[in-house]
Amino acid sequence: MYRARGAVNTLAPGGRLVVEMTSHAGWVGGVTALAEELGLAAGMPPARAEGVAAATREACLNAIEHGNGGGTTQPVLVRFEPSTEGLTVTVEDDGPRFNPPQAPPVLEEQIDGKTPARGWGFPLMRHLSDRVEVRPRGGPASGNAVRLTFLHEGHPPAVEAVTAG
Amino acid sequence: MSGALRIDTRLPAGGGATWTLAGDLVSASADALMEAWENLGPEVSGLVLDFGAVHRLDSAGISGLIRLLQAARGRDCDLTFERLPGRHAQVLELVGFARHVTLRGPGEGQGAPADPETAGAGVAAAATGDLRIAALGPLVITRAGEDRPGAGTVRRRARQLLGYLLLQVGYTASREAACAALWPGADPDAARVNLRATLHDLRRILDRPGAEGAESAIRGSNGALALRSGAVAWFDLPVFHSSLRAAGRLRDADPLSAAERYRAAVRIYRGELFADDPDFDPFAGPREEARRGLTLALRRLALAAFEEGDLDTSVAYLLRALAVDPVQEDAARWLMLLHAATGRQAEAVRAYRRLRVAMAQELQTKPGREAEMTYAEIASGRPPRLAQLAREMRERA
Repeated sequence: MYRARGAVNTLAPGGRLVVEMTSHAGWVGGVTALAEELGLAAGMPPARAEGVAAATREACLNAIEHGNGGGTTQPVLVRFEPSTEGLTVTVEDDGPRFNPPQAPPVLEEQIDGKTPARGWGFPLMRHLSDRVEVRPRGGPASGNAVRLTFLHEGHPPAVEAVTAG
Repeated sequence: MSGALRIDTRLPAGGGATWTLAGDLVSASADALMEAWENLGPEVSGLVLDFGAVHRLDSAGISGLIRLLQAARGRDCDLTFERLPGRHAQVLELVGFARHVTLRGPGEGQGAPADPETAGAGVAAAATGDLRIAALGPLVITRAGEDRPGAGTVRRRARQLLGYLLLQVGYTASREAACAALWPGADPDAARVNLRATLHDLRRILDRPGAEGAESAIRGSNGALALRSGAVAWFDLPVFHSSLRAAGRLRDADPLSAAERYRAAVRIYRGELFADDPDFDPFAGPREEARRGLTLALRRLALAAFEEGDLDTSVAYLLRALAVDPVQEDAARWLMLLHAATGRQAEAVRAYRRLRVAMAQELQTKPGREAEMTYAEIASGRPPRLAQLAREMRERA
């Protein structure tokens, strides 16, 4: 089930569209399609908009599986916020805090069966977006917010220059 | 086309199979892949996955492909992913599939194996950049045929940072880890300042003049650094290892093709990995691994030449193998016997003396009984037993 606040066709820089989604993988497809549409509406080329959709999908799946722990009673909130710099997508869950891995898994260890063949969600999000931030959503044990930033092409890469230290 | 994954299996003659995939390669499709795999006969030696109609590929789909790769390894079956759309190729490259699977883009030929010296072990499928980096030997960076500054003009820390990133999975590392590798024990704030300056240096080497932001070869975000996916069109180290793996797989079924792959690997190896930085710790393990790979290739090429009756070429390969690792007692014995078989007793004796010196210096020991007996037989003028040599080389090379 979805519940949306805001409308795609009136979403402008500075605006916000919030989608509340039942915490189940079966609902992710609609949010993914919406993310792609919003990327296109923000003026991104189709390939970039596909990347917005793919990264949003990973963040939603992560919220469902790791954030809400597979439970369907807690919702997943997805906030789309366009700006003159690009588009920000924030995916929020209601589950216990998690720390995203800083380094990607080692493929060879997974092939050899030393570690489970999983854990590629955050590396994909980092690959597809310009910045990934994970923050507590509120007070203790009250959820996580994964914020994905997609800058317009040619926009100064603040991610590099600012966060270099 | 999107939706549930569909797999159309074709089994052309010759032991290979092709899966034409259509739809989404996402969570549920991992099971579809494994079900289709179980339906393939154990005689299938190569499987081609046609990605031309795959719409979505997510992390669950990647997990499914890793499970497939595990299963294929168990049956010694080669995998090829072809007609890969650029976005999927970049993701698979990021994960590291190019080290284990042949990746081909939409425009690349099907069926024929890629030339490892030009194709980049499949990375070419994904690459949109034009940097070519040769690190086996002194560092050489080229772009579209233009010589970029070699190791002499790339500052040491920039060179080390580049090498460090190239050795990471997905060419990605956390800034913290990079600082710890380049400035171990340094104050964290000072190390971060150093890293910024080193990044600036490295970008001047790798980026086209005027390149900014997304065009830069190096991306940084969220505490991580990465060589931009696709910026490196060719990197010799994975090509070298890919050639060795291909040779190993072909060795029994197609020895001539295997020997060609070993020769390709030997041609790529210009010298020790990151030879400009012999004391930088993070390079030590991969350097030793590459050295072992080269030694293996040279021993197997020595065997191939011997079996073709080309004893001089076999000697040349053994000499090179011993130059890389002089305490290979068996290779030294084979060299002594081949010298003796071609009437070069003095050379055989010199090979024995070099072995003695190397073992004394590196291992503080003496050659074993087999080497001593071989030496005694040669010194007594007894003709070498080439049949026995052939058996031994086949068993140990």
